[in-house]
Amino acid sequence: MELEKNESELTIHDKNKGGRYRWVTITTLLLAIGAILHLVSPNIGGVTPNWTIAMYCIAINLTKPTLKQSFGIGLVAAAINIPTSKSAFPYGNLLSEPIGAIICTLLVCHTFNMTLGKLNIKPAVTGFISTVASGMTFITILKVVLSLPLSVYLYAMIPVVFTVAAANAAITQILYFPAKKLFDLKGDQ
Amino acid sequence: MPAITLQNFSYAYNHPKKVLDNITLSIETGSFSVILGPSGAGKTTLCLAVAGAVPHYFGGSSAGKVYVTGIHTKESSMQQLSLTVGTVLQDYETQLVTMTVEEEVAFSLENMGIAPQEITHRVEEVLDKVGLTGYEKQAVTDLSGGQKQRLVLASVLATNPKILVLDEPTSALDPEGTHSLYKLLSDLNKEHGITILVVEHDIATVLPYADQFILLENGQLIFNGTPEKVLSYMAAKQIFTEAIPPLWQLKLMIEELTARQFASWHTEEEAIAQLSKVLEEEADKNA
Amino acid sequence: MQKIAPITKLALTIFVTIWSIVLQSLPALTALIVCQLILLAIAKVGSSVYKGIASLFAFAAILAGMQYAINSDLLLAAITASKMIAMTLVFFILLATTRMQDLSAALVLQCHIPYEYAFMLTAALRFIPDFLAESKAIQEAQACRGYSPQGNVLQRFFSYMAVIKPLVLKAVTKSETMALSLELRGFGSRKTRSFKNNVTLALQDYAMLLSMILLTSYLVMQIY
Repeated sequence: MELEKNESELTIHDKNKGGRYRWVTITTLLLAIGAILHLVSPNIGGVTPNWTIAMYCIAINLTKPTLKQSFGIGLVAAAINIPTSKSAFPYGNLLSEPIGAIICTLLVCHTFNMTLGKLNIKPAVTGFISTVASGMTFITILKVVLSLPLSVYLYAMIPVVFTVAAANAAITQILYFPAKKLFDLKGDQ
Repeated sequence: MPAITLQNFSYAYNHPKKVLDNITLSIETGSFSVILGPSGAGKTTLCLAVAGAVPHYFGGSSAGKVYVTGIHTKESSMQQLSLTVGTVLQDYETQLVTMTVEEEVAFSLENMGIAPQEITHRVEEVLDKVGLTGYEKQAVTDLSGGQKQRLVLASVLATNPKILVLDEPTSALDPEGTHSLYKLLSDLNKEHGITILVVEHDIATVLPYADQFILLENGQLIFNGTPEKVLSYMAAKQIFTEAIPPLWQLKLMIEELTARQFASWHTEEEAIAQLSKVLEEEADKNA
Repeated sequence: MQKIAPITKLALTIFVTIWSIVLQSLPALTALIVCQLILLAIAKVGSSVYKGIASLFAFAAILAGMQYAINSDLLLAAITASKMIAMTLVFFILLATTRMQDLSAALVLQCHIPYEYAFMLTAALRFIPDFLAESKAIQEAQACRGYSPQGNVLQRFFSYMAVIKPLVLKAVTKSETMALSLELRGFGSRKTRSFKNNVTLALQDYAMLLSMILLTSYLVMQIY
């Protein structure tokens, strides 16, 4: 073969091209993990974290999807847990997860940096608020549809939502940074 | 026309650290080529360049050109190239994304918008080709490693690519699985004329089938040609010698000591046949 | 039930929910629950489904118990529990008699949901057994290295995170391969995509849909 004399300069390609479907695949795999943890996770000191919400919060923090995409992510998150969960109230999830995912996206994409000293606490904040949003939606629907008494709602359900949200905040914060480091690596070296 | 042509191709994932450096190479249609080299030599990146994932998926920066069956990859799209090049990645398990065997093959065809009746027909045909007939309804998770590998191959073959690129397809297979996979690839190569480009660490396993070796080191093309030439070159220049199969180390050593030239030793049987013939001649001479 | 198109069963799910909300009498709700159990029996679903149903009944009983404890109205508690059971049972029917792949094909073809989301649903289900095996392996490995799920809440929390972190990192690595592979397999142009699954409606589907609409309008008219 004929050799061209001079090697031409490297041209830089559009950086964002990589991974048109990365948001799809990372969400898929994290939601799969969320579903199995939902199945096998022991309760830790009486609290069972909501792994599904924690996982899509991580996915959203990593990929920063559009609002339409996060609405879909929420629906898929709810749908995955319908066939795999032990017992639940599917309609509650079908509404509460999209709300959680959208709130998370709004926080991730449209707020300023949140730091505590040198520590970036945005993952924890998004994890906490999204879980509260999703959880409150869920229990409110449960209350309205099943016409539960207000006292059950106030003294039994709301405290659970906030405890789970605290656990989720910790999970999101701990898992986000190692995941982010790996997520940003490009290529094989 | 060659199936694959690289003209002074360079590539960097993160500018300016080059992973491939000024590579000029041509791979003939219908050939069975093997990419060799130590880890970090750029073997995977070369595969990805042929599939168009470099630069279309990874961005980065590049220079020079890659042509696949005459198509300039940089000016085409990965979707367009997927019709010509079928790619099996190193982590093939993650390439399987559906729940059952037949759906996996159908998935590739559905992506192309093939009509349902045609899909059923092609799924049947291609599963037969890779020896997975009877497994149609089986869950993907329940397959063995070798079967998963075959399924990925089937899903890639379903779209009738002219070129197959496989990145270390046997790294997770047992010797038997490895042997039968290469036998299958060789059949596809000989009977269906598919050009095959594969990355393989264990040279001995591909010797019976390969007709071209491509030796990379530090992103540069060191040497390419027939297996025999490349192995001799590696031994002579002391490059990546740990990969030379023991049988060939023996062959090259005998040749050096006796100044006698053997034909290629693709298998142990060929080596035994040639050696015993030589020994007989020697015995006759001495008699 | 297995022969009925997925979209009809989806409609059934929605209608049963409406009925569960609209109906206020215990006998009517009980009848709805019994009808659904008969449907499940006809469909000959596996024992795992009944296990799920058993835990649903248990969950409903807890809810009813909580409610009774607070306002000691037995009838209201029973109605609440029945509503809960009635509207959740239908999901068991839907999922036990429909393949997820057909359901997602129906969602894309008939409900016009973008394909990416249907893909996420089935692909996640495909990877669940893999990750389950993976998490067991990690747990065993961590046990060998002396991690134990004992101690106070925080210690147990962190020892559990030691199992989950490698799992999440694995998912991140795999997501790159998977996204790359999807593009290498020509995933993407939704306009040209086809579906092998047959999810079209037959006569029986139309008959079911019609009777569900009639029943719903009758119930709604009864009330208002």
